Amino acid sequence: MSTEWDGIEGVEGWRAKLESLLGEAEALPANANVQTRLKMNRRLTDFQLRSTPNSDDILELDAIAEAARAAVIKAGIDERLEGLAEGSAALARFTKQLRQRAASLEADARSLRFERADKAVQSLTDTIRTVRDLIDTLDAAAEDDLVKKSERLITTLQNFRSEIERPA
Amino acid sequence: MNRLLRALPHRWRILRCLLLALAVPLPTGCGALPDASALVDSAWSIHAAVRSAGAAVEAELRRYEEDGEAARRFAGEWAVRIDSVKGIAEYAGAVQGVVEASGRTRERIAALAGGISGLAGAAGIAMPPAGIVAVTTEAAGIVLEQVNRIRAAKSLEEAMGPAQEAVGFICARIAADLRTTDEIVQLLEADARSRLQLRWGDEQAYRQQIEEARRAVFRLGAPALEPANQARLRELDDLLAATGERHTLYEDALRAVEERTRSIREVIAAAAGAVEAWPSAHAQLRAAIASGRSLNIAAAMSTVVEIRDLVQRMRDL
Repeated sequence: MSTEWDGIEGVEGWRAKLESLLGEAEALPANANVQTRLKMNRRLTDFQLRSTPNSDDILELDAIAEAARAAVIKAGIDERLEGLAEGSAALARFTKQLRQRAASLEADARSLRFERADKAVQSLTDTIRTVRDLIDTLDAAAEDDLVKKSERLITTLQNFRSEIERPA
Repeated sequence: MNRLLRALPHRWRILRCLLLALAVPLPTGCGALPDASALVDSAWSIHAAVRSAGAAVEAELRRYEEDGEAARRFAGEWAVRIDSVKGIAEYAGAVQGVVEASGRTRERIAALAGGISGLAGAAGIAMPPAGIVAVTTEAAGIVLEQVNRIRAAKSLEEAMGPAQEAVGFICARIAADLRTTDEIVQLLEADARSRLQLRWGDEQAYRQQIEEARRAVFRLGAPALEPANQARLRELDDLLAATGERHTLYEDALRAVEERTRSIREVIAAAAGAVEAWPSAHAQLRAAIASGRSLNIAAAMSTVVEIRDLVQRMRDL
């Protein structure tokens, strides 16, 4: 089976082949299909593996082929990274919209779970218990204790008020 | 009939009245809302796959380029994708939260009634007898269960309708970006393979010459058995054995590149398939909620286990 490397002889033969490959690599369009880039990478690799003999001239051609091969790959990666960057702003915008919907659903779920009513009942119960404690304290305990319990009562009443005043 | 009704315990009479009242058709959402947990599981498995595949691609980019510039650029852009898929998973969780909240109304009413009894006890208010409280709670549970289902269905319709566009855009974009990332992996694999072949090229060429010389001896046919040719074969075998260890190192390095990139590409392909199916499952769920019919989207989201396995395999490499 014949290959594109058959019949190439001498430094001039390999130089001509490399010039042809470099021309094709340069002509690759921006955003070239990945398969096209992979094929060009393969051919520039094969050039280096098959070029003979390993004289200084040939090694110089190999170095040029390697630089071209690396550039073919790098351009392919850069193009794709640019493609990713182009979509980021729109993605962030739509994600923000979705999070707003999620927040609204979470509020609805809390309402469906009667969380506010639960908290109001709990808060009211705590308030009443604190008032009772205070009444007990007034009967017998020291003044310090009375201050502490009064502070607790105020806090509990504030909590209760904020619970009731908070919009659903 | 009236005598019979009077004979019924009081609580059952209340319940009967309520059930008759509830027999009047309600506008929508009277049945249990369809379970959305498969949608949530799928979104979180896509999130895990997108995050893990991204980390693996970033690691490959660091292998490719010493200064790490491409890896940094990729990581920055990919973080937006990870956050978007997380946004989808959180949204799916919120949808399921509404479904669950609507489905446990009776338990919550019972808990609330317990709280009110506690409150009454603390305040020293005499509550009605336990039987009356129980029947009232049960009745309230039945009514509020229906009300909550309607409220939940309305809430979901209002959120999921406008969300469909965002879901569609995000999923299509993520699927396209996964394909782009798959191409980056193909380019990285080709580059790594080329570099290995070029680094080991001379040694591999030498080994190929030895193998070609062996084949040439065997092609001789019967003369290959002559002592001189046998000695030549032994000499060639010794040369092959001498280069064997280096050849194994080369093949192992090639295989490692192949395995790493193949596992990344498998995770990417599975995630892309799942993310492409997501908007359709979301639309099906939305339609089922709107029409009040049941729906099993678990089958449509069956890639969850596959994705988990692939992600684990990739991490193990």
